[in-house]
Amino acid sequence: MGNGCVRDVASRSMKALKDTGADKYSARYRVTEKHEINLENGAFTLYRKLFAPELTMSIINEERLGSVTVNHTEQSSVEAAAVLAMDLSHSSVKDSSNDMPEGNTLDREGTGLLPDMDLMYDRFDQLIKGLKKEFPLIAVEQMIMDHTVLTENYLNSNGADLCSRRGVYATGITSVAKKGDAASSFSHLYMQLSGLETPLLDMPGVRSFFSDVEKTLHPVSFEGKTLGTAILTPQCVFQFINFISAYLRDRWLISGSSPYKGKRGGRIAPENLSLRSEPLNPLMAGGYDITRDGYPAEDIDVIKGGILKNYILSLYGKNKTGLENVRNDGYAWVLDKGTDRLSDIIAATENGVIISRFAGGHPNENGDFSGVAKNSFIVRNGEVKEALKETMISGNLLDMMLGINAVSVERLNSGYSILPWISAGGITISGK
Amino acid sequence: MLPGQLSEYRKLFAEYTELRYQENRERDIHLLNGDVSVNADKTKGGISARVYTNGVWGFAAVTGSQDDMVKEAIRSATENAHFLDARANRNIMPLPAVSGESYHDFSTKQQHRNRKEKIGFLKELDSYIQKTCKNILSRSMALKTLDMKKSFINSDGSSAYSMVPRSLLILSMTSISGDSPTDLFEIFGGFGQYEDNFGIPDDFFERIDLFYESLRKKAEGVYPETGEHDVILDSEITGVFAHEAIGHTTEADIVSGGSMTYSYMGKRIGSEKLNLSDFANTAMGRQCPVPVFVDDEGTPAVDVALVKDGILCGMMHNKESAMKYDVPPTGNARASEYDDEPLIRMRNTGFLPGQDKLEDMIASIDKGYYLMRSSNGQADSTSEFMFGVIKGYEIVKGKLGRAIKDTTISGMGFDMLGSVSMVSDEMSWSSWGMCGKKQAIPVGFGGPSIKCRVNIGGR
Repeated sequence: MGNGCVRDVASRSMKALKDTGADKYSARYRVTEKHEINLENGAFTLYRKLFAPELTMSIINEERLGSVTVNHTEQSSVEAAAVLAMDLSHSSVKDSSNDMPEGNTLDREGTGLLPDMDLMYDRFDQLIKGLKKEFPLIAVEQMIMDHTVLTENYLNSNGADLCSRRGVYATGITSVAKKGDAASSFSHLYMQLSGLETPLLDMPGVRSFFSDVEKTLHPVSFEGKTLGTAILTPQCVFQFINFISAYLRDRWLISGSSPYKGKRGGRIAPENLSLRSEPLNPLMAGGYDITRDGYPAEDIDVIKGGILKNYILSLYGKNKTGLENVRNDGYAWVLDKGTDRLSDIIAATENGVIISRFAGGHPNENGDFSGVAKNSFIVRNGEVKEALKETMISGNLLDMMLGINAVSVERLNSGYSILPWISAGGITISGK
Repeated sequence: MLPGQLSEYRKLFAEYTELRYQENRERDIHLLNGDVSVNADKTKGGISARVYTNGVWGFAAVTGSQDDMVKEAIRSATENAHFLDARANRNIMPLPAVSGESYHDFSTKQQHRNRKEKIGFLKELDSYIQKTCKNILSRSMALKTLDMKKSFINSDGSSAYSMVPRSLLILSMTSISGDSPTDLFEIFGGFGQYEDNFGIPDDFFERIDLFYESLRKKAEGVYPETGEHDVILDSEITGVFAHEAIGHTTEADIVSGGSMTYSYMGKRIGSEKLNLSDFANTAMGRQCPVPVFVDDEGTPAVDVALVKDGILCGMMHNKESAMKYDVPPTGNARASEYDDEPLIRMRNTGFLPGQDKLEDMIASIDKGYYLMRSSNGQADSTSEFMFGVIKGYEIVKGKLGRAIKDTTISGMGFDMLGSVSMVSDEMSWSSWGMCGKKQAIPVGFGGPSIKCRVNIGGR
């Protein structure tokens, strides 16, 4: 499957859409080629291979929107989908905010487009053997490694012609620590990789991840309730950035309920915090080239020096709110490194917790959140103490952002984000 | 494509092989503050083959159902199984031979409604909200329907067809009548196509009134007090608890992976008033929200009693785990899309009703909370759980008090079950659940109201 093949389907789709007489139309053809190996309870169980095309045809006619997605691309299916898209637009209601991007062009082909199945197997096998030797308490419940090539062509009636092809390896590992009748909570590790040159156990952060899992075998409940400091690991920082970014997107801003409404250009975090979305960063194995709207993707500042620089609005969101849109779908988060070593951040924490995973829902419209601290540890008088169970944390996301007091100099590149550890005060920590 | 059309390919099965044709059709219409922001139709279908060799599986999926593509799927799946077998050398014995047959088409018997009528229905509801609900900052409606068609055969002689529909209307509003914005959502519909659940606006006006009243009370509500409290979990939260905190820990693959549950098997984990089952298709004489008759491995689906009279007694299995634990498979292997492999999944997981009256349960609490609606939930191998709660009330001296703001409840599943003291005599199902274990798939969950103790997170 090359760019030429996807162009053929997208071009045929454009012709079928043109034949409907629509004012504006677009065709997006994506083909996912996946090779996936699964391992359960320490044993190889499944080799799964997919060739999954997906064609989305959208129409705006008399300001009415209709969109149809199919995965069959023979001519009769394409023509039927175009007619259905037109039918859907007829049945919709006028909305002058419906629009399509101008005619940009792009033709980009990445590297790593061919999977090395033998190496995938060997890296997996090597990891399992390495875990048994170095981390004997670790039981791997499930491990999945895949290689995915995404080939994509977006065309629209304004002349857009964007083509991209990317290959990436990914691995997800769910494990527990077990000893006798004692078992820890599940821990999840996920990485995206541009290649498999490095053994998985030698990847940054992997050894310390499994070491921490082993340390959570005998957790204790937090005593009482206190106001303290939360040190978020990069994995947990990723969760909280996604909470923040939701407030900056269409749904919250169009509805008018985002707590960051009207805050563009204003301070929402301390000066030492700068957040970007960098889908084109060569270090970001899981980046992307084409946005959902149909723009060539761009790297953007979201927060710079603590100031909110951009909302992550689509073209529709821009037209609805009158604010600026971006050529970026978010994610691929990069937080600038700070000035403090993680060990110094911990040493400066009198009373707090290190949180690796926040088990809780999205904060509400005021930014209030509460949830359970999973795979987490108590920090007391500058030292990491026991692992935690049955411990809830709560706070306000907006206050927490403003209350960030340290950003680590160390960062972890997981392939889908490059993030440091951060420390924020004013978090309520409560046990049973 | 029907099972009969697939059966001609049985002659190509050299080892244990499954062949499945599946088509998922989703239709989405979203209204945000009255504007149609999504108007989409998505159909995804194709054929997958799965082959078992010496303890490993090969899987391949293709989009078409033409002869050469079906053959390619079988050939590729076989090749993939051999690739893994040659390296893994597991040498596990063949799977138990179990076969089932079924044909269930739950397509609506009503006249089909077109897209214009569906958008018109939503617009009428939206107009009613605009007319009757005050101090609303935003309102959204998402009409989401899914028709899941499956045809299946395997080399054990199984043959099954199903068309299982679901249609949901998710209504969400943000009120600015309190001291800060307050959000609440409600989900209508469930099993069945649009025509079975929707179409007559008048049928929903009273429900919108009740929803708005709940939102208004929540806007004026209070934060709950942090700490451990006596609570009554309404059936929806009981259902989420059944699914997340107990259900997942009794899926055999999770048990094998380190869940602590197996060590409790045959032991008391809670009050003798507690009975919990994963129902295949019918519970207490009524069809469940996600009926499964033959699973995606061709096994006839049976009910699984997980907890009986407070004793942990069962697990959910596919063929492979059943062989490992030396029990019959239970028909819990399900795949979300045509290109997904079947996994051990819950179907309709619920606590059975007890004998207590809900009003007596409320009256029995001097200070506590009545928790009614969950926004999300998680649990893990230790049975520690957390659920977001977006609707609930104080209980003060045996009576319902003020509404509460959003909060989170948590605890250890088995500890919580040990604290159950009352179980109400009615049961209801939630028909909107999606379980996200590798693949997102519809599930049903439900139960009665139960009185227990949990940790509540405050502000």
